[in-house]
Amino acid sequence: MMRRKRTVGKVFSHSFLAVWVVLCLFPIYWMLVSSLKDNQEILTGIGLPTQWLFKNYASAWGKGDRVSLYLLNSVIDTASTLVITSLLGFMSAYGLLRMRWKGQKVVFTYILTGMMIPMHAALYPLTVTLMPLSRSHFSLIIPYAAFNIPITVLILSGFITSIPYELEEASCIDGAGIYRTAFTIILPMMVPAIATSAIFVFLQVWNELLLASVFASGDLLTLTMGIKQMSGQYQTDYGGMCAALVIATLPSMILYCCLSKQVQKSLIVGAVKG
Amino acid sequence: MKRVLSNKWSIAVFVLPTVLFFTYIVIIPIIKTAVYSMLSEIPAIAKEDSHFVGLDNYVTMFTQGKRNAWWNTDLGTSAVINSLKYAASSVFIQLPFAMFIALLLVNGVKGESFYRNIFFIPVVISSVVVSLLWQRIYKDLLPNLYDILGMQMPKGGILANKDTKMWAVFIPVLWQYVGYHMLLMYGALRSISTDIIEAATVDGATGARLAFRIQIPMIKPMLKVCLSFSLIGSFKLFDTPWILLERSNKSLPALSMYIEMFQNHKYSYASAQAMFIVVECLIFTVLLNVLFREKKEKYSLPRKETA
Amino acid sequence: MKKFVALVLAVVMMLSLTTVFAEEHEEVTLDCHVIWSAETEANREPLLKTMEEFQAAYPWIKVNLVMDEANAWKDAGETLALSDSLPDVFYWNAGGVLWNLVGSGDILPLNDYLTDDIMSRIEGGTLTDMTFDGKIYQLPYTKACSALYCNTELFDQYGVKIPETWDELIEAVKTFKAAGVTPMTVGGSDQWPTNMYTDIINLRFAGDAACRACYYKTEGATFKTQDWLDGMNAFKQLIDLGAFPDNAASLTRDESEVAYFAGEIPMYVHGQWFAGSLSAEMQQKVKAVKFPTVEGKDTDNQWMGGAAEGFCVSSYTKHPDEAFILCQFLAEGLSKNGFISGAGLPAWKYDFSAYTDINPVLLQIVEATSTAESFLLWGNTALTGEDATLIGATVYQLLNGEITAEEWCDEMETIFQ
Repeated sequence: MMRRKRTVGKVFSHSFLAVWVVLCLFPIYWMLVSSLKDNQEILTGIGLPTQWLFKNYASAWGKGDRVSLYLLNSVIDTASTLVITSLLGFMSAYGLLRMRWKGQKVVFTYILTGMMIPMHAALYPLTVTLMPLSRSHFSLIIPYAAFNIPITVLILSGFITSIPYELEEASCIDGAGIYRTAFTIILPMMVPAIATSAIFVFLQVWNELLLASVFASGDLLTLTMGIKQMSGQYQTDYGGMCAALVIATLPSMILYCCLSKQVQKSLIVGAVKG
Repeated sequence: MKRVLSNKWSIAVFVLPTVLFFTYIVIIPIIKTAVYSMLSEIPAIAKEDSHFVGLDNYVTMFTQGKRNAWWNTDLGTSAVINSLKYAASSVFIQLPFAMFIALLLVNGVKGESFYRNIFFIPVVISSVVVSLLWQRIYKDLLPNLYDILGMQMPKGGILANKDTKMWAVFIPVLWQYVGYHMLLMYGALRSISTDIIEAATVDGATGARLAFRIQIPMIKPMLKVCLSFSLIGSFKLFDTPWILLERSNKSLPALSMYIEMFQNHKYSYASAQAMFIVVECLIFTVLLNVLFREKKEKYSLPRKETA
Repeated sequence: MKKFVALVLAVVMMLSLTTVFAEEHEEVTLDCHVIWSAETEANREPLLKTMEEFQAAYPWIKVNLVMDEANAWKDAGETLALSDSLPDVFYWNAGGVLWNLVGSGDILPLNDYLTDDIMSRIEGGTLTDMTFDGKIYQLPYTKACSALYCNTELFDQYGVKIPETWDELIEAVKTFKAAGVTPMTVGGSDQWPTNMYTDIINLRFAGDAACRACYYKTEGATFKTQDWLDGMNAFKQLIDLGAFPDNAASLTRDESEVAYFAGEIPMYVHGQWFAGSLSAEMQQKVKAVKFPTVEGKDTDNQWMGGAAEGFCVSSYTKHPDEAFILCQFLAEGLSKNGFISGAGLPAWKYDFSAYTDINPVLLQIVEATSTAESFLLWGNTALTGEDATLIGATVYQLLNGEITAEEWCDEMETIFQ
């Protein structure tokens, strides 16, 4: 009796999970197959394409150098943001949590308040401050970096306090200065933590739309804003549109497939800390 | 050693750039927004006519008016109420659903990591892509589905019909983040010590009983994280409605703020809405902290340090 | 030795000449912001062609060209103006939108630069909405107007006469509807395409003077007249007859036009730029005509449109002389190239007789507007800020069946008080 109940339970849970797997993957599956179909076929069925139209990708990629350009912009913005947040985040985490001075708690709390504040609240004054830069990547990199520093500092703080102080002492005795100690001894040990925060920040910045909608224009459009604008002109070419969506999704999907554990971990840490 | 670690110059080199940068880009703009929200109109537009009006802009937000989309109980489409609706659907539908999946996974289903990895995929996709995908689903696939089921499409299409449009916006967002909540809960459930579970099982607690009596109460801190995610997210919801709904729709707080700011150029009024979003987020955070404070003491948690 | 001296002298002279030359044309870089970022925009190619011509004519003026989507640029431009950081030369709408920037001192008046020679080349009447207090702030590159685009193939197939009066239009709608053809299309979700219909219908019922008075908030003007109500009820009649697709309110403009391009929709009211989006094959099938007239209203020769778009120079440009050259060149060049490629009607005089393959639909519009007695700018073009948002939002609600014609008039009355 008991066993039968368990089998029934198992069948139930597996079929339930399977249904959710299908629901989770269906839009993505649909995006993939649609990116290889023509309009007629997209509108009439959900099966595999009868003819695999890889030219949709060529047209999405090449149209006026658009998607390729947007991809490059997003890469530049995201990479610069990551470099800045990681560097400033590490330096300030070191200064705030390893070094000893009056008021370090106050400053630490001050920076962490930044996480409670949604970007929306600073939008207009930021627009005015950064408008002179609106023709360069900095107009996005600067706010992205600034708004992601608090979470970076917080994630790093958990790790940096767990490193024993003996390391610094030893290095001091060897005659190394504080900067050398920080950057050659502590920094290498922080790489996993920095990776965790970097993945979190990457996903935030890569998918950001609100600021991009204000600052990115013309040749500086990011992928998110670019495909949003393209979605208008692609109404006559659903296949090309879906191909553009696939291209936009690929980088984060590749990251996820290769590092699914780390991605999940950093998103847990990001949520719990935030 | 201590002297080295307390050297004022080094501290300044490490900390000051971040503090200055952060202050200039995050804190000062927010203070400016707070100030703007109490002006008749910002100086850049109104020039010398700009004057202090106290909380007038906030009062306007909550004054009944035919065109007031922020708070209007008559219209039934007020931005604040819509965001509360989203929060409610997230709390009462999305979170229980995520919890159910997490419990199934944690209580031993074969291939749990496979399921977990799949369920998490939508989370890493950009919300723009998700919205555009669902837009196509609503416009290309759904009419076919209605046809097959022999039903009539809602009048005006699912994204224009008054009764369906907000749900059409909520569903993609709820769908996308189920995996995130599932993962958070799963992680917390995993870290409950096996001794406790075993002891409970020996006492005869299985299935639903085990879940409700032991597992769910034990991950309350994580539930708090999930709840604050849902609640705060409901006020910040922007990408999906902006893409899916018609131009200049103001039926969600962040959307309303954006339209008032960049389309209608009512900067002070929009600043008031922005400040309201901040305050609302803070209120919810405090509220959750109060709600969960007592409980925290009752159950001491053997939660693994995730970081 | 003599030879050497002569050579040296020659070289020195050459060098000094080139320096003089270089001084005259010191290299200048200008920022220029326009719309038409989408590949499908009819004005895109003509603009790029004009830009090439400009670079060839003025190689020492370097231009940083940024292209954007129209709505995005309208919103961004107003924000840029607040921090005095508008680009040197940029695309902008005329009327109230332009007046906004003029009022805040962001736009350079061009009177000092406009020689009689240049002025004589601009088509008459196009500067009306670009001039304030006698100062000209913008140069037009096109005249706009809306027309009724009829797919003659469908009209022939179902034996329908191309409508010239409102009653004929209703007849046509009923006949097509009965035959299972959706008579018209509109992208309700973008809002302004619906204004294309309501504006022309209101013009027919209320007339140019009344519309102008109401939109520009003239003292004593009111929306609460029988004419306005009749106009909106007429539009409502179209909706109730099922003239538009069932899901019109959730369609974007591009989506709504797909069916028209596929030859499934017989009628569409839109701006003249739509003619440029038609394929060569469709250009043969489509006939652009004057929107049907309403009996006893005496508004038969009034049109929606006018010179509503042009190029401006910002008042804080560091190189006003070069900026004007660019602005004028763009306006005149795009006027010519745009008409040749079928994107729009010219706003500058030019002898087009050498071009024989100009878009026939556009030529029909030129022909039809030749007897025009007045042009009225569309509300969404002439107005700015919340007013523009609201005239879009109210017709959207009407289209979506959320309000009635009476309620629309009441709403407009309160908005435009």
